[in-house]
Amino acid sequence: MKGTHLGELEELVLLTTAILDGNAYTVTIANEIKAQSNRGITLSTVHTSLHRLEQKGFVKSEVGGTTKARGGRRKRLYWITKTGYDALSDARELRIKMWDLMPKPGF
Amino acid sequence: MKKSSSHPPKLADRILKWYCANRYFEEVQGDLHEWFYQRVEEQGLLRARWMYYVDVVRYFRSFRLKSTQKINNNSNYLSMKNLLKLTLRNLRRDLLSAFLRIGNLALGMVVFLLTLVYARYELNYDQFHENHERVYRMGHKLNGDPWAAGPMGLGAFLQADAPEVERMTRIFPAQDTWIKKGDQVFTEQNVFFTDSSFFEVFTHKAIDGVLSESLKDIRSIVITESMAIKYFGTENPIGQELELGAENGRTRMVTAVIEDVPEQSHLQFDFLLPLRTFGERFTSAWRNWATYTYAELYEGADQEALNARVKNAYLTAYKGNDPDNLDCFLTPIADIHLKTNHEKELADNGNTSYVYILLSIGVFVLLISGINFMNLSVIKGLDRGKEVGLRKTLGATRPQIIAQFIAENLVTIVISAIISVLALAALSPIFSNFSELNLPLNGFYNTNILWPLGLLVLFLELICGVYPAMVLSRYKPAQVLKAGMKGSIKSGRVSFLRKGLIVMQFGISLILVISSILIYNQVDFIQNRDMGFEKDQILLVQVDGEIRPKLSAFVDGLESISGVQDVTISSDVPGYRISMEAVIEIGVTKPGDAPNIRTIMSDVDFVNVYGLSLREGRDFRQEQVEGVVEYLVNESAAALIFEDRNPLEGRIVYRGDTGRVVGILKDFNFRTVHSQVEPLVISSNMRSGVASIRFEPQSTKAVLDGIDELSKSLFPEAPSINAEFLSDRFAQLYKAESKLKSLVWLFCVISIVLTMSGIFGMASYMARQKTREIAIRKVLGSSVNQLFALMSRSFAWLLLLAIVLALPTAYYLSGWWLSNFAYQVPVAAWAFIGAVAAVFLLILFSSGLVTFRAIKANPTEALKSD
Repeated sequence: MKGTHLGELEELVLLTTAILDGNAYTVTIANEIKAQSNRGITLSTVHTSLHRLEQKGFVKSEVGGTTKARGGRRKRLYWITKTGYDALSDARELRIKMWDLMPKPGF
Repeated sequence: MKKSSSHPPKLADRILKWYCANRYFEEVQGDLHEWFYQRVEEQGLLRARWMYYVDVVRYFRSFRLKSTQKINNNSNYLSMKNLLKLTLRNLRRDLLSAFLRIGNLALGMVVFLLTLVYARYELNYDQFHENHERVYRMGHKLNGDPWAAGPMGLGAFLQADAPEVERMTRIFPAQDTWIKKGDQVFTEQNVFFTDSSFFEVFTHKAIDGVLSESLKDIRSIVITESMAIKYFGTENPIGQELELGAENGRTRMVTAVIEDVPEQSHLQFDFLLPLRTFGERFTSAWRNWATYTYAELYEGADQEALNARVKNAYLTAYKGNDPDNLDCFLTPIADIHLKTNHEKELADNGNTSYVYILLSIGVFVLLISGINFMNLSVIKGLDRGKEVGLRKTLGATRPQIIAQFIAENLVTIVISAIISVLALAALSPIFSNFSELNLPLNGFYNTNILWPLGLLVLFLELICGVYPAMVLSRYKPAQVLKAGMKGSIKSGRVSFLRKGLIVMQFGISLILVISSILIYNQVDFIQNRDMGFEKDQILLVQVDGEIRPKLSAFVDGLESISGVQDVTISSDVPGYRISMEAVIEIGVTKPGDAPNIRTIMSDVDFVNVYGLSLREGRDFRQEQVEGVVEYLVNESAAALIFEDRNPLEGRIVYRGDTGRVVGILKDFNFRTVHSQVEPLVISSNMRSGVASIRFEPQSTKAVLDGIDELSKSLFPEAPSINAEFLSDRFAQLYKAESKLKSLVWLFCVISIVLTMSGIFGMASYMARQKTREIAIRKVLGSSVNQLFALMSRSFAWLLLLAIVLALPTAYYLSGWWLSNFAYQVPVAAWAFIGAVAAVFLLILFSSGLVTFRAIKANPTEALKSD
């Protein structure tokens, strides 16, 4: 199977999915990323990342509710899984560890 | 804002629906719609609609595509994937055999495609003109010699009085063509005067300016793109002024810039000037036999009637000519490059027979490699008897087995094809350099090499893919599985068909070897043949407008350069076309017209400079008497003019000069040895055309520098003088042969390598089949020689048969080629014997190499396994 490495973008999407807790789908994730990091991101990028995350088992999805703006079309909602949560915290710990190792820069 | 118009664009939705897999469609579309309405709020409807399209396109990723979903569930796809995997595994299992088969076929394809592209290139000359099927050049035959150029008045006649002709255009080469812009001066070769209809008859693309108007003004000039860059750099050339050398400071204005003339045209020009510059009287006169007349005929026009009409006009214009000696003919412009080589051709034309020689060699090499592929495939497949047996037992039908082998061969052929395209692309700079043609060989830029390749793959698949499949699918499962392959097919023996193919292969190799020896011989022969004069250590300088007024100063200057031995000025020189005109013998009345004879008008040093030898009489007197003209004739001319009379007592008239014949020169070849020595007359009434400079070999550089200095001091205005080595000119004339020589050798070596590799493959298989036989024989006391004979016998017989068939064919083919030459090297017996011996040895060597290994092996190794 594909590796379980967590890319930078994937990490961002995964974090946002966790934050949105139950209301995470492509559009809300894109909006949230924009709100948090002021980083414009296209829907298809988010969708592709979610697709990969799902393949790696970091998120699970379910087809869910609809709104008027969607013209009655259902959306696919995403939740973070245990593995996904572990991967996130591993990434965080790795960073903290490495930050601690870094000497204070002299500039 | 109306609600209906704020919907996302329908078209984009349709595109999405078209490509997006059903699995994802609903959620993706929902997301996109929601996003769209959000955008409408933030950025306005227009932008939102536009971005909707962009988003739809961005969603185009492979995992969301309908087609990938379909493919993943398709059983055909699965079985194809399986097949491909199997084939690649089979290829990998026996790398040597895979390498042999693929390499063989790729090499054959490269050679074939190369010759095909070359042949297509040569055969497509002048076909880029839209109406080329209807455009003809009007040629003439006078006393049997066809001329490409004709009188100026012919064009005017065609225009006015020939109802068959829709339009015509004339080409009249300009003389003394150096071109000046400000203080830049260049000597130019391809400058032509032409009618304003030029661009209607011929198709050229304008870069700037209106072509139909460009030649109407008599002070106009049309230039090509590279000339525009040469003279004007990045400036806009339109409306700029250029000055023509011969026009005494009057300027011309650039009215149009066209794309450079395609290489595939006999009519190469850089500058076009309006013929109207000369005025009505000049352009309608029946003189000036240096004009090329092109006529665009109406659809279905009667060519015979046109020829008759033109012939009539000639007879009226030149009264008293013998109608039997005059003929007119039309040459389609697409035929000019390969099929004509008349007097006064505009370009050194190609040669049809060389095109076909190379093309047939290409076909031959392809045949050899195809045969190898077939034989090697069958042999390779023999090892798979068990596999076929098992498959059949498990329920595979014969068609399925056939399909599998066919598909496997297809994969192999396609791999070879890909390799050959890559190889051609990689080699294309080398070949372009060698052929000096811009051949479209690179499949990445010129996709038109790909469709013949596609056809070739199909063709090879039909010929070489189907046969092995038929043979191999014939295994009977029970027998194969019980008794091994021997039970099913007599594997050690080679079938009749395959024997025939091997004979053919040997035969083709032999023919190629023999032909290349003979071609080499002949080319060597004509290149090194004694021409009858000294062509080395002569420099030629064109004597044109600038030089002519200061001719004696120029000649004195040349003679004072150290290292220069002798200088002669003459109208024409060997190696170039020498003009023909009527030469009349005085005091004898002969039936018919006076013969047209090539004539050089030279000063008194011509015989010395060219090292000609006299048979009888004397050279021109060193001190010429004013008004007295002397003539020298060569042996052929003496025989033609004077028949049995003594030439040294005769007097002849040429261009109004009556004079005595003072000497008879030994025949010398003033053109190439493609043709017989023609009659030649040399008149002492010198006309300046070319200066020939004989120099000492050790001071070549000093002489060239001297000429350069002389040109600067005498003609500071004009571009510096170009001197050409006469030997270079002759090398140019024999270039086609030199190239043919090296190509034929190359292809001959390739064909031998191919044949040997085929034999190598076959022999190694046969040796493997006979391992036990050899071992047993060896144990029972056979000598190495006996075993060797046993193994090589089958090849030797086939080779003998091939020799019997190939020798007469090679003899016939080379005889046909040699008949193109006026002087032929005798067909050497050693070429045949040598070729046979060489091929024999090489084939026995490659089969022997394998055999020897088998014989040398320890018999216990072979026998202990059972």
